[in-house]
Amino acid sequence: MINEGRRLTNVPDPEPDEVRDALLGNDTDIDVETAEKILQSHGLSSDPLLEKMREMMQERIRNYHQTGTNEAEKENLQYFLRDMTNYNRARSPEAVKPEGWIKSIIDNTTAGLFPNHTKAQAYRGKDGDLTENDQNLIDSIEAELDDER
Amino acid sequence: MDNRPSIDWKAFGDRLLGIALGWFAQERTDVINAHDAFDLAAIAAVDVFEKYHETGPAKTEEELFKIAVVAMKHDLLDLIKSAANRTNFTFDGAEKGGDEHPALKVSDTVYARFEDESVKLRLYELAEGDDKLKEFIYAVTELDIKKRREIADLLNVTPQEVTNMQRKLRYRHSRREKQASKQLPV
Repeated sequence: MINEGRRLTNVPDPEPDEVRDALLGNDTDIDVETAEKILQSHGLSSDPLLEKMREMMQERIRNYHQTGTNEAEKENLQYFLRDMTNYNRARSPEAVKPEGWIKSIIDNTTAGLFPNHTKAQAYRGKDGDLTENDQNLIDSIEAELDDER
Repeated sequence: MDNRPSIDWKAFGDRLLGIALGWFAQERTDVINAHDAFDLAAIAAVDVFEKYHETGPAKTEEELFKIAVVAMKHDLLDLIKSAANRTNFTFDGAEKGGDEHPALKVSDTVYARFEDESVKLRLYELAEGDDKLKEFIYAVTELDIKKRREIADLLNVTPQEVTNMQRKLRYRHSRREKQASKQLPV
């Protein structure tokens, strides 16, 4: 663990390795895509890591609460635990309410965002034919493409 | 006003674990348990979040991430030294590890020495026939050119293309080392 007596900003990199950094890039510059590929090659995901971090933060908060000490540390952990909870909540399927999206499309509320686009109706009639509007839309797109050829 | 940054937790976790797995996939870390990669990343990250007020304070997630990586590297060194002290494991050119060997460095324990001929050969294998990648490896290991811009000038590519080659090599290096050494936890 981190040396308690040192400010984190003053903790130096143990030993910069110029050759390694030149070949593989600095560790801290790793991009998400490369990291994901490495994890996938090992058959792993970061979900268990995040779960472990969540449990550790909860445990430390409990300890600080019981001992009544380290108020700053407790507040930090509470903030980041809350941030993680909000993040997970935003990513959960329940957070995506399809009703809202469908309603906004039907109400054409997206027209203000995309004034030059006409919405397409992604369904067919009972007899399998496209609606007149959709057929006209496709015809006009085909005509535009023909003009460009 | 709270200046603590909001975190993209998946990206943060992916990147931290990606680095830890790269370290743990190295043959020289066989002295420690591969399962520790998760613990190492989790402890470093939570330590940094907990001590946020001592981080500057960091204003962005990226700043926090960089501090977490340095903390993780220190923890890894401690872990290796401790494991070496519990066993008869010795590092190249050193006697039994521990505080009595202050010269012990990360490159002695974690990273392969890219200057070694056998390691160079493996690097060229990772190029998988890509001539540009071979030239890149040659430029760094033989011509001792380490600046991204200078490498780009020599190879007549853009600096971004150098970065892309580094990323490709990093991925293949981790993937390859993992296949060659040991199984990691699922």
